[in-house]
Amino acid sequence: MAGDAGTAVSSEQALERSTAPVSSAQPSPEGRAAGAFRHEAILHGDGAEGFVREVLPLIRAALQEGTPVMVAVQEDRIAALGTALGKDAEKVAFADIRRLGSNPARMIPAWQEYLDRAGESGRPPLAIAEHVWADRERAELEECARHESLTNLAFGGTGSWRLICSYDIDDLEDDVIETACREHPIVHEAGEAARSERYSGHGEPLDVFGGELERPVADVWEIPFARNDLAEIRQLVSSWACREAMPFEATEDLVLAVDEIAANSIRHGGGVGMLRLWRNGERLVCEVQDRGLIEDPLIGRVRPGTSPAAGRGLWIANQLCDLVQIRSGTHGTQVRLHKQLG
Amino acid sequence: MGANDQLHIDLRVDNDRVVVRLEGELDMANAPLLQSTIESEELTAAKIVVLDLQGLTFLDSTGLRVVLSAREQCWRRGQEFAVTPGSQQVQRLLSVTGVGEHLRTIASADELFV
Repeated sequence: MAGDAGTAVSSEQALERSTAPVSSAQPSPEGRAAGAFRHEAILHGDGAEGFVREVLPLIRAALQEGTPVMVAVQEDRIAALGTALGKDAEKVAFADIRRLGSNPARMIPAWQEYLDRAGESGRPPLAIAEHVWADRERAELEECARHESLTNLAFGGTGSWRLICSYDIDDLEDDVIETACREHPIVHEAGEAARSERYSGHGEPLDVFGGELERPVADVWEIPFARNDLAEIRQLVSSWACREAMPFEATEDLVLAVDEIAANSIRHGGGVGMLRLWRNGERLVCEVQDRGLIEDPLIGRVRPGTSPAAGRGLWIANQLCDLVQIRSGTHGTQVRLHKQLG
Repeated sequence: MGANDQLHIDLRVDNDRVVVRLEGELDMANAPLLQSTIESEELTAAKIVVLDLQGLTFLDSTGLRVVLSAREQCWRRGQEFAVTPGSQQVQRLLSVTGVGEHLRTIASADELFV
């Protein structure tokens, strides 16, 4: 079902990594053909060492051909890979994924930017990423899965670059791995690449804003708003964040993000909305609900230019918040912003 | 608090230059106020238009839209257009939207154009 495209399956469901060997004689419709974007997953165990074992041969082969390589993974993986590559490490662009992609919605524009830069070399790049790690929270995992699906959509029609997402099966729950198999047409395991038969992109329409958000467990402060209430909302969020001991700069970011989303409600969501505020552990959560409908699946993931008419609200929220969740349908829209306190 | 209390717009004509000084907060509620200033006669007659953002404590994307539309209108009228750096919040918005690097920024409203 399309609505399940981005949601993780329950852990009770048996994990069957149903994959079939990749046959070079049989071109698959999922992007093995020359000229198409390839989105693959690597499943490995054994932490940084296991990661290096899987990706080192791929990176070496790419470097030999003069293919630009970017690796956005956790720092321990970067260190281990750097050591294994030796002098060749200089040819690889490394990024700490916890900085670059803490909010997974920042990754599509990050790849786009990298592609634009690497494009000058004339060879389609190889990128290796690790979007999911052990201490990601439930809501983050949910958005990571949606991000992987959106990656297929964003780059599906673009040039022949290759993105390999690594998953540490020792660190991650079975349902996360299951989701990875559904979002990547090709899955590598123990040095073998295979077509993922669980891949969900076989012509099914993507419903990236479907499903329901988790109910807040804390007390929720509800504030209805209308046109001309933005200044008051900013004041209110600012003093609340201050009371929760959020640092000044983070507070300014959160205030702007909430202002943007509430302004969207006023402009596109029927002129009024409901703001909900609560604390979830070390994060402040601000949710805006209205009667609008968001249709563009890549909203907030494409860098807005300098045209006055461009929409920037969700782009800004994605840049300023640690996680942004959008759920939208005929019943209305919810945008939930999460911002780390520390 | 009404929208007009949040934003003060001061227009100063100095030879061929007009400086639009913004003080307070520029958001959806008062963006139309700036928009109408930009279309005013005094402004359309000038050779150089400077949006002085130094007194601006808050700017969101709706406000930014008006700034960008002012820039476009000035270009179309053959006028020079520049801004001064705003508060930390304003600079943050310009930086995350990527707009900052496309805006001609001068240190102060009276700085000479080269």
